[in-house]
Amino acid sequence: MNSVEYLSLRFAREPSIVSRKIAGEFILVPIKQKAGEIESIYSMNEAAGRIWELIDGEKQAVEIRDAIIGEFEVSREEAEADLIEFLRQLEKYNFVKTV
Amino acid sequence: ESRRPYKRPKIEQVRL
Repeated sequence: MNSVEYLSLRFAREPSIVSRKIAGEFILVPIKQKAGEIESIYSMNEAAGRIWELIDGEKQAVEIRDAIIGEFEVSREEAEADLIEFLRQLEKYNFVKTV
Repeated sequence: ESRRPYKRPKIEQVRL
């Protein structure tokens, strides 16, 4: 799948992932297990947290890219490449799925 | 051009 096709996809968050913003950092907690069985949590920086907030099951990835360009000092090319890489990482963790 | 400084989106696993 090329980048144009990938950017046309819509992504939704997995409902089993809880996110919180704590002291300026975004934390993701998978809640598939009991509290005592959680082995890992995930920490994200500001740009990653903003992308996570924008993933709503309705926006296409290209719309998320444009929102990031509008909010951060980043070129279109860099924002696009980073977004695709980040979304693929979230897919690998099973934190998001395409809808 | 309220735009915030950009750092590449990054996610890190923290083992408990």
